[in-house]
Amino acid sequence: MNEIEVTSSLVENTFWISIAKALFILVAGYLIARLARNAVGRVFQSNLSAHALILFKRIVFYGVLILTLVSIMRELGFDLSVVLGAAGILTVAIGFASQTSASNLISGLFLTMERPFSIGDVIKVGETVGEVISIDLLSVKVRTYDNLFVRLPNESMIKTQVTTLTKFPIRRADIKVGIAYKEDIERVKVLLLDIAKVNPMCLEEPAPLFILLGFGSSSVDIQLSVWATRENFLALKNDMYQSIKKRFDEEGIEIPFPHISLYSGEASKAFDVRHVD
Amino acid sequence: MQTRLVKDWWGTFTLAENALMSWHVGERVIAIQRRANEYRVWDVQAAIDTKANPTVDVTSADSLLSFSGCDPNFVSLAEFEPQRFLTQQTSQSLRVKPMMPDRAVVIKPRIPISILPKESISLYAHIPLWSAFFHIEKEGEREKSIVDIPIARPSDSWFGSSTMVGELCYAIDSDAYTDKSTIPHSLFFAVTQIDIDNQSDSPLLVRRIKVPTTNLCLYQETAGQLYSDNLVVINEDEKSKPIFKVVKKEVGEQEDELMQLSPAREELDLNVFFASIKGFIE
Repeated sequence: MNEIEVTSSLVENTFWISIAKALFILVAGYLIARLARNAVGRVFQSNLSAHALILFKRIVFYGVLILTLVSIMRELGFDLSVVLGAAGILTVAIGFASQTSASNLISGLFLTMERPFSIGDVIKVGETVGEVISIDLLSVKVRTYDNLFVRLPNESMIKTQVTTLTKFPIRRADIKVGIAYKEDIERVKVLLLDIAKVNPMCLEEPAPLFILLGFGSSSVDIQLSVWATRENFLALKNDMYQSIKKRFDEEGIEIPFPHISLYSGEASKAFDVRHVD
Repeated sequence: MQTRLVKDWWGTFTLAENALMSWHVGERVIAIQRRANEYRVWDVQAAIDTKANPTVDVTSADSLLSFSGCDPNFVSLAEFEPQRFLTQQTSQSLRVKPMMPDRAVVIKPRIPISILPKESISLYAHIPLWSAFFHIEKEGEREKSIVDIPIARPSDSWFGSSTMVGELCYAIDSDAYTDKSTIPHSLFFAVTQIDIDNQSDSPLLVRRIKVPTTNLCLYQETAGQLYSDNLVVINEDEKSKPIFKVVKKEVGEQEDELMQLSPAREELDLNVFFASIKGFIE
């Protein structure tokens, strides 16, 4: 009887020792993972882009955590092959149960590999325009210009068109202007190109482009395409519209508003309007 | 107030507290005022164009209004916001240096040039200068930079094989002088000599040349004209891209020789330079 008690007491003690060891490994592993993540961050801060750095830090952090979990399981006496087999079955079960999350996860991996944008880039997805603040396994987090936090699921990022506005160093601003039919188009062309030339934000090369879009319902429609560095893009666009309005007013060039002519009966004969006392 | 036509607009100047110094060049006025703990710098468009006679003014005026009142045509600085540069203690010793531009400059001949086969020519281009302001706290101490501003800021331009790959530069239209004696004299522009040697059997069309101005030193000759280091372009054949070299000018001890005014902003990294020479001419 005594022997049985001693044996059970020993087993119990061993069990508690294993639990204590596992807890110790968990705490130590977590601390080591955090330390390793921070060390990687400091060492590679200047060599890697923000996106690559975050990815590398996560790989290190979760890698150390996985190793810690494996050690804990061994310490607690679990047979790893059985655990891995069970994990496989569990993964299939979870996969069926959470298809959307799994799809987001896979899409996240593809996004990470393809890298259409990085942290800090400005992207446009549907109606949302904002700065990428985080690229995670399930979603991309964006801060819009009106300071809203938008979570975009990775699956939708893979399926829809994503425009990266800050991929290239220069951008083209298309300035659309309408002029009255009576105006001399050649004179307007010279004026518009001159407005672009005197603006210091407007790049000389690629050269500004004057495009006659066609004859609109109320105006001759023109597009002036000018290039700027992406930092100056919005400032140039604003500046150009202001300068065009000011210069057109000075030069007496009419920017017409839409107007409608009504006819009755014959197509070219207007209403007969008479003043009645 | 002392107003004088420009002889040398750079050098070391003594600026009393609250005194204001200005440069009126073309349509630009650059002015600096010293206060107890700050320098105030204006960079504004002037009402009149003094392209013919650039002036440097030094005044002890306490207020900007009295300064602007000295010349009715002159711009009133009081109407403009200055840039403020704060320091523990301003110094009465102000050093002004002419500098080459802080980015490469793309020279665009007004009429595209073709260099005939087996010919070598020299072109001269005017490069606008920057003015760098420094203050010297104590005699013998290293100068500290206050601000570095262009005297006549050229337009920005993109220079590269596509809109995806390239470099942001400044662009200037150039008369691309071939006769050195016809170059207009200016103390606000440096003359850069570009020697082009077309060794190939076909003409070399030059529409744009990128001058790596940040790698060029600035010099002055006894007559006053400002020069930068030379650029040499060798076009060996049609298949290979032209080879570029920066040729340093020799600074002499003789009175009639060149004197270096400012060093290059960046040391020429030969590896980078030769890796990117392919993109220097279009």
